[in-house]
Amino acid sequence: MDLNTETNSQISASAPTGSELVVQTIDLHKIYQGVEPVHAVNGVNLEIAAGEFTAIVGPSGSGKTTLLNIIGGLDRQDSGDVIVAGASLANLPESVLTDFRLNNIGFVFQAYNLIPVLTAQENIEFTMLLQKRPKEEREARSTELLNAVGIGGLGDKRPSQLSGGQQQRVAVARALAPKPTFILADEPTANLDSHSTATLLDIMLELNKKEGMTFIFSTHDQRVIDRARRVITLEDGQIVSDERR
Amino acid sequence: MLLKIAWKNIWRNRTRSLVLIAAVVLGLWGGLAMVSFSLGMMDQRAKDQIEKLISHVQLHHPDYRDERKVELFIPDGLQVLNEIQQKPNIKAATGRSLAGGMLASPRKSIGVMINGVMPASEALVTQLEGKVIEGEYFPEDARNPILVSERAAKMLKIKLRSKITLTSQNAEGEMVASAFRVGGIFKTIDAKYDEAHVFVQATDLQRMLGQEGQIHEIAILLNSKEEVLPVQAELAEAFPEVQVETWKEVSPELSMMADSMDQVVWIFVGVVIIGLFFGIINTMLMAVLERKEETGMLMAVGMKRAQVFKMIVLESTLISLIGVPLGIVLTQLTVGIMGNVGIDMSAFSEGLAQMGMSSTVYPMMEPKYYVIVAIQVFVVAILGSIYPAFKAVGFKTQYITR
Ligand SMILES: Nc1ncnc2c1ncn2[C@@H]1O[C@H](COP(=O)(O)OP(=O)(O)OP(=O)(O)O)[C@@H](O)[C@H]1O
Ligand SMILES: [Mg+2]
Repeated sequence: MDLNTETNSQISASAPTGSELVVQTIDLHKIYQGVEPVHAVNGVNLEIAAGEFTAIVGPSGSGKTTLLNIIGGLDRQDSGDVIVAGASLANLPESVLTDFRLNNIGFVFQAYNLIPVLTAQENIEFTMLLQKRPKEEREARSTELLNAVGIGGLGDKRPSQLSGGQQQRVAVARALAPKPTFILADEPTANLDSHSTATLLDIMLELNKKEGMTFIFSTHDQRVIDRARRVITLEDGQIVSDERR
Repeated sequence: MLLKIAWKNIWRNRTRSLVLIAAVVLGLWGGLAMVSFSLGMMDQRAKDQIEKLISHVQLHHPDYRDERKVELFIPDGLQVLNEIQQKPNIKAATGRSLAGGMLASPRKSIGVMINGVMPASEALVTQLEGKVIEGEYFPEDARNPILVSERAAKMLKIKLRSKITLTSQNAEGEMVASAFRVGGIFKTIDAKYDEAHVFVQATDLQRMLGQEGQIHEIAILLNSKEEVLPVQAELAEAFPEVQVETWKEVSPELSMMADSMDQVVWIFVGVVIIGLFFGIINTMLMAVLERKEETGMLMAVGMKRAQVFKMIVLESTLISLIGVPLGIVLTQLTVGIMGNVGIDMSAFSEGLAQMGMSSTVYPMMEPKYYVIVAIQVFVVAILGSIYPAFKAVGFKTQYITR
């Protein structure tokens, strides 16, 4: 067992001192057991400050999804700690973790983001409903968010009636609705054409600039990487570079 | 909100949900159809028994029905009978002398209940006269005529005009016997009953037993079943020294029969319900597995396991909420139509006759069975979704990212 041979080449992705941390991981490890155990996350030390617009990149199988799942409270690490919005996720019981996700993390996935039987607007209201927000607030905020992602007139359409790009915009609006601390997106543009990708990026950057919303997303797409303000590169579960622009 | 999503989820796969609803409707209908069929059968048997033999209300010496001794006749029986026959709310009443005995032909003998009847009034109370298929119903001039059933005649190898001997015990415990001549042969739909009963004139039996003018039983026919209880109360007050019983009390066999019939029906209903149960599990499981990623997403963005669970159970509850009323309407229609037309069971009439049933069944329904079966279907719909619901909440949130 010498899984740590590359520790020397691994770097810690720190945030500037004094900034407010949204996510912090401390020596994070995740090993998938199997015929051949896979060390998917191998000692990651990572800090992300409020307001950052961070892309996690790296070759397929480098551990991006695994890392995002752990940060998002969807999966648990084997060792190390994750501190999200000031709370350590390691010891939270399942039901508390669910509420924590609801109130602190906005999710945008590559696919299956929306509830197919609900309209776009109802999808956006869904998380607010789980938060038991009053009806007027839900309606006002979902309308506002539909406009913010540029599909103001499509609130009553079902996901199947929307294009892939429009669906992802609804997903971003849905993620923003419960007023999360940050948005976590695993390859949000992987299923989109280049035009839709550009539009979605515009919207995300706009939200980042105007409202200071923190985005953490993984991607393979060079055009997306080019527009990120911070790029963290993973290889074999380790951070090999951390670049701010 | 859960309700809204559950409702909409049902209609995602319209065909599948309609098939499941149809299964609920047909399951309910099948179960209730069997209940109504057996209710119809039992009701008919009750009616038949009442008309043929028990009538609505019977009077006996208080100990007669337990001991069946010939000395336990009704005190002043003929007087009581006369008074009852005068009452306006009574359709007809007759008296009977009864004795257990042996019916013997030269070749063979069988044990029977000897019914000594008053031919004129008996004809008004029971349909005995109409059951005579050969010979005559107590012609005026005949001496010691007896009615035996077709079955008994066959067993004893006797026919019309054959001479037979009846043997019994009198009040003193002495053997008494008389010769009778077969005046008529009767046949009811109840084979067992036929084997065990013969009919003679009350006066002939009384003479044989040496107790002239004593009757053991007064049978009363009313205008409807509904009058049974009030009339029972009235007579019990008027004749305190006599036991007044309704047809239900007189014939525990009848209610036992109903009970065992009931059990068979409930087993059938159980089979239908279990089929429905697995149908629901299967369908809900399919629906749930199809939505693996979506369910993972719902839990990822903050839906609690309990809420997902509730949503799945709600879906099958809604399906049964649609299916149950439809099933009840369908049953009501079927019972309405078939209850009038009747179902011809003549193919099975031999077997039914063994059980004392007639060959046309008129299904009927009582509201309580709707409630019972509907509740069973509901419970099954909910139970059937529990396993799929557990499956759903067991989905990992990470399904969404793979
Ligand atoms: N549930 C699992 N069980 C076993 N191995 C897994 C599991 N999930 C991921 N892995 C393995 O862990 C490693 C990291 O996977 P991960 O999905 O995090 O990579 P990724 O960077 O997101 O890849 P991609 O760019 O293809 O999405 C891979 O080798 C993968 O095969
Ligand atoms: Mg991935």
